Amino acid sequence: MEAKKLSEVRDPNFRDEISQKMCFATEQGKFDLNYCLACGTCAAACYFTDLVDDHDPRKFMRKVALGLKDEVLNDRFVWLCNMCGRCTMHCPGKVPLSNVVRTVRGQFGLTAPGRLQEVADLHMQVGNQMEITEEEFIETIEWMQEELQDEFGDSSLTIPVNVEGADILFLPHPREIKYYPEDIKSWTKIFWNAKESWTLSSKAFDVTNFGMFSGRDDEARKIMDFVVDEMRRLGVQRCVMTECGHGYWAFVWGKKVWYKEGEVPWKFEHMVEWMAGLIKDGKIKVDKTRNPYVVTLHDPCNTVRKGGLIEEGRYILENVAEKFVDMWPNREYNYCCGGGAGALPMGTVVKKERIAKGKLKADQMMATGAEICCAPCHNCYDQLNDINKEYNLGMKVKHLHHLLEHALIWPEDGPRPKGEDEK
Amino acid sequence: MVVGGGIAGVQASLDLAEAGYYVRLVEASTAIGGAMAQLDKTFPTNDCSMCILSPKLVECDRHPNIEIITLANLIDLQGEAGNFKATVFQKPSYVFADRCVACGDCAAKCPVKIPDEFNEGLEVRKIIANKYPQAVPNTYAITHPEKCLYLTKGVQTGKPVCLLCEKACGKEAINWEDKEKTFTLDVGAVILAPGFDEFDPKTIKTLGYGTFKNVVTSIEFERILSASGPFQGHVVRLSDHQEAKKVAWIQCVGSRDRSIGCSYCSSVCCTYAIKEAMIAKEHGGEMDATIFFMDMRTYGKGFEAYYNRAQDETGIRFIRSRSFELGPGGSEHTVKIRYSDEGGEIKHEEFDLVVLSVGLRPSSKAMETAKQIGVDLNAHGFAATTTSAPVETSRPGVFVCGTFQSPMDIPTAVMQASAAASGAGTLLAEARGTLVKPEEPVAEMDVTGQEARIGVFVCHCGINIGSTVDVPSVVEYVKNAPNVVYAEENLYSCSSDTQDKIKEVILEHKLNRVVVASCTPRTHEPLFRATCASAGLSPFLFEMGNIREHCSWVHMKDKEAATVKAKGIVNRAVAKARLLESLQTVTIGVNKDALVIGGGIAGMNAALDLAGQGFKVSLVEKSDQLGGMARKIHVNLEGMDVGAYLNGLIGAVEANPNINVYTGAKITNASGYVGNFITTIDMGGQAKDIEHGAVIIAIGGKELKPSEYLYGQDDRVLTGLELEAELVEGTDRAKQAKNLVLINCVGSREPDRVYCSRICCTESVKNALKAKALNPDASVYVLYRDMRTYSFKEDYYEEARHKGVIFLRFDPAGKPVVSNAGGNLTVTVTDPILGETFVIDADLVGLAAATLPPDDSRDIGQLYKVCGDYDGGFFLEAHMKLRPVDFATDGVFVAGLAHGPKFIEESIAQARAAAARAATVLTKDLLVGGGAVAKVDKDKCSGCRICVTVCPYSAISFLEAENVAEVNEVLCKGCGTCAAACPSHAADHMGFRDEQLFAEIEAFLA
Repeated sequence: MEAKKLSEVRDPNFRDEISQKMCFATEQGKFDLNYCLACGTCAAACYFTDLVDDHDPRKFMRKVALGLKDEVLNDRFVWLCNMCGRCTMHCPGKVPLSNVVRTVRGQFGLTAPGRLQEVADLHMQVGNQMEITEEEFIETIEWMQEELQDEFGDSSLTIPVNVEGADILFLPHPREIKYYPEDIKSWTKIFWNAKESWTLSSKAFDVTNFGMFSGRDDEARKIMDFVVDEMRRLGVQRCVMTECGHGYWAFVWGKKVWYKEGEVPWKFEHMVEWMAGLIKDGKIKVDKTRNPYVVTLHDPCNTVRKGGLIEEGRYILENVAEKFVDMWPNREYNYCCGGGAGALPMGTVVKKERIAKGKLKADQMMATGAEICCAPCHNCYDQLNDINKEYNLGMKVKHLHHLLEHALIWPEDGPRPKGEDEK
Repeated sequence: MVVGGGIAGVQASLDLAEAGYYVRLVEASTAIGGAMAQLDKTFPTNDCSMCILSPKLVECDRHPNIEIITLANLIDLQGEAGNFKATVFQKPSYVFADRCVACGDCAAKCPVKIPDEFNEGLEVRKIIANKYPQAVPNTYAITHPEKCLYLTKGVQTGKPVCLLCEKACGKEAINWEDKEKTFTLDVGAVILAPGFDEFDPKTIKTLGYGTFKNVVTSIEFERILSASGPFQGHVVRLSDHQEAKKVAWIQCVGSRDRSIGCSYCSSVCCTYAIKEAMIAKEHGGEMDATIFFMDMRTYGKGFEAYYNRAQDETGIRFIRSRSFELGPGGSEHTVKIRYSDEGGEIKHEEFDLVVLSVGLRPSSKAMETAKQIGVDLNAHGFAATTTSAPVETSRPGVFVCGTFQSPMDIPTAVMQASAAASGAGTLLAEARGTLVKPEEPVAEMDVTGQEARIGVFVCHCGINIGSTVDVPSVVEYVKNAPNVVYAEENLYSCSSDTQDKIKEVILEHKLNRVVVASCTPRTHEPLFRATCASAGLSPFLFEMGNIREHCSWVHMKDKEAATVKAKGIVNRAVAKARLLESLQTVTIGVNKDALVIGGGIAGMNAALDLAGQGFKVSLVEKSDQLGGMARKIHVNLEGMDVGAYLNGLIGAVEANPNINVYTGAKITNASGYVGNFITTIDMGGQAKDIEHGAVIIAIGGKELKPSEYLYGQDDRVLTGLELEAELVEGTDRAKQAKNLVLINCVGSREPDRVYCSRICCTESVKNALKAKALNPDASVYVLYRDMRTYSFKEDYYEEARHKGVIFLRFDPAGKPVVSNAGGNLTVTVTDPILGETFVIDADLVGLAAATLPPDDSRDIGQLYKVCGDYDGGFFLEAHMKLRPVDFATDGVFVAGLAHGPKFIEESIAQARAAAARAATVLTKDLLVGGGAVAKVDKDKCSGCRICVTVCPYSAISFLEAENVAEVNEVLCKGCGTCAAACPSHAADHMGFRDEQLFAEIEAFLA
């Protein structure tokens, strides 16, 4: 290789520029990327390094450290990296590598490839990423409400929408409205069984935030504002969101970095947190024999490694399924499914690599011998389904609420589906 | 008071006790020895750790001026320097120390097993136990009363539960009434030497410690390697105790890791991992050893050669990679490591055993003590000290040494310990000799010409000997031997009542020789000799036979043969006893003045400490002014203004009435020996003789003038010191430089100069930070091989990265190239991670040039009969581990750069250590020598001088006039080398004469 004249390729301020452009006042001290020792921990910790090309986090950081700005901005790693954070969990220099990637993506004039930026734009324009109108939303909810009334033989039961003063605002994924309306029934039943005070909003029903992955903080905040404004309007106490990994992390992290301290006072809860709490507090009763399956769990990076919701999913599965087996490695040391950081909306740009990365997860899943793999994240759910097909796993992929809903024991003093007594 | 009985505490105690102070050594566990006692071997000499430590421990135990207080902690300190009231909390041991003879009968019966802390929990021990077989003091104790059946259930119910230990003890040594005690002692100074805590690798879950059985810590591995450890030194997997064929070491576990709040370097792990791998390979035959590391920090004296040997001769693999996690291997007995090599290739490898090289954390107990007694800690939790006062804590009169000051290796800890002793000694100079216990000698009987009347005492050692050897039959057997007039058996020959008995028998039966057949003379001979002396019998008329280690313990399964062998051993001892002579000791007076050679930081510090302790010092400097090498240093990383410090030091030296400074003085001759040297100096033609009792050599070193990287050809290429001068001065070109390139290892770690110069990595960091401070927009590059910013110097390496300094690694095979094309200075180097070669424009290039030994080290070495030729001209100390400032030649000490490259604070510590060691000589009025030493028969001597050359202590001189050799009995250590080497049988070793040895052999084989 020909020697490069460093003065020609190096931007000595690049490293500092990234530091300065990383969002957030409150956590600034934590995001110092200058302590890299080039020790190789990250390269070994990332299991995609040797699975696909251009995927060595150390080489990426090395380019950053040397100030090779042009090389970094054109590095495929920027868009291949799933920002799963495994590489730098025990980084001796505490380098926040996934945030470096995010900052490079969003703060240096790059545009997210594939449909990633389009999706974010759409979300900002209409309030959700799937162009669902308020009318369509209400229509779908009412349709599901009717079906449930039939199932329960009680026409007074409702799915609350825009109820002011409710305890919980529940935030769905728009594709549950558009493509998976059965999911609406699933979580509604859990709410009914637990007798929670809750509501949906006809204006904010999208948990996702692709500003997370485009790296554009102003846009991410705009997207989050839809929910924040609605919580304020409805006067709810907290927000519980459907099984979406990045959405959860966007709210929890975004509240700290895109807003001033105290500006967003509410707690954002992932559904697994809420469901585990219901079981633990005895608010719902479940019967695990109703799911006589061997079940395993995929730990989404955003909820588990970053969000710290480590035991909740396991706790739920141990209560609602007959046999739970863990993958190895698991919990905060899980492998990313390969679909994170916008890899799915980026489409063909990274598809080859996304599927190649999935092999790792496929092997992990198969090693458990499970019939069902649960993924408390919509993005992982799609990726796992792709893996399932690609590698002929013959496994079922489900959300946790699917199994939990199925295991619910209905109390005598509340709504009960017809035929519950025979179960 | 010395707090902590590890090697540092032991050394400080011995130095102070020898210098005439009364020492209380407070130890938290049941025995002194600390972490060093747990180690198998020590680097870089691969000496057996226990073998070199144990004599120091025994010396500590027997020293009349040292009182060891075990199971105790310092909890409060009132008063002020020179006059403290120290409150000590002591846990009960439940054993009468004066009755326990460490026979182990109690432990044999005790039913309660707990993990053995000394063996890192790899083995179980009984709840009543001694800490380790060679423990000092070797007293048993119940260390976990909450688990003792009697102390819990028995005491609660008032019933005689268990009590098996009490029943087993033949000495009535169990003391159920023992209680916690808190008492206050008057002490003048406190030295903290509490040691370190091992980093707990469970903190880093991915390393699998606790998950995988075959992942162990390095200290556990020391116990695995130890012949006295749980696996008798076999390197085995813990999962199935099968031989481990592939072993890996993972470095920096709990060190250099910001993610867990341990960002400093633990200083010792790189070299100890090499040592463990080397020894393991020795033990394990075909074993494959691999060390995963970031930077190989073999910065100490002799370490780089050791590292080279490990790579080139021992075949240890070194992989530069920090691994993230250990995973299950293909079998349940293996562990898999996934790692990335430097070029980014991912590899997987399975190992039978993975050793985590755990770092040194500050002792949590000591942090608590520090808080209680008002001693400040630094940001990492270690005792805060400064460059100029490296062993002084924030509280006057409280000193610190060893790993509570910073992570350090054993020699540095020993050095600091002596330095702390010097600090305490200086503080308490007026009280010297006031509290020590004088010995009262008993007049010695003259037995010359008497026929031998031998008394023999055969020991049962509880059941240790008695259950294997038929002791009564041995007694019967020996009774009939010629000259034996008395023989008896003892349950414990070493117990204090038996000492009284032996004394009585000597007097009653007019014995003139005594034989004890029991255990090892290494620990017990001094005791029995003292007993003989107390009865007026020369201690040289005593002989020992070891029927325990050499007999009962190794022949436990064959009692008859053991008894036969025991008879042989006793017969041998008796045969020698017949021929024993009452040897004469000699005494010489001591000149109480000191000579310090070299007027740099080390020399001046040594002189000031000695002067502070009341000794007259002659300080000889060959140049015209004091200051030495430090005159070229302006600042250090810790922010010391070196110039101001130096001026202060010079002022203090010149104003001190006890110090005579001779500048422009060259040493032309030296003669004499410990206690009585005469050194001749020449000051511009004027000669002067200086008489002194001890000498400290502190003649400094110098910076290499490089012969590569265009040094001397392009004036923009400077050495580290030259660059520092420009940066401090702020020259125009230093201010305007946009690109500075610093190159490390210039002239060090090369085939013709193997050693690492220790300080240059830090020097480059210092210059890089200075350059950044001068011009924050400058691009500063440091090209290095391994960054060796050990201990807290790592903080500055971090700071430099933080400030944007670029660090680029290179291999010796791909050294950077400095070129000047048409006036354009460039440096070409390849980044090993990206595999890309970069050309850097350079305005200034700084070369971290090697530190060289002084020019005159060989000459000075020859004058004082010490080795001044190690590693190309550094002085070689008596022992790299435990005698870092002594020479094998008594009365001569070394300090500073002349001993090897080191930082200012290390030079200061070593200088003060040398002062402490010199004080142990100068304190004495008389030096005692002779006894079991060599003698040369002048009539037989042929004058061949072989003995003069082989003597390791320079104790033999050649008398030109008579053409014969003569042994200086004071200097002779009685090693016997000369006696073995002498072709004319002129050199003879008293107490080990040929006829004595032959008689022994014949008697044993009879």
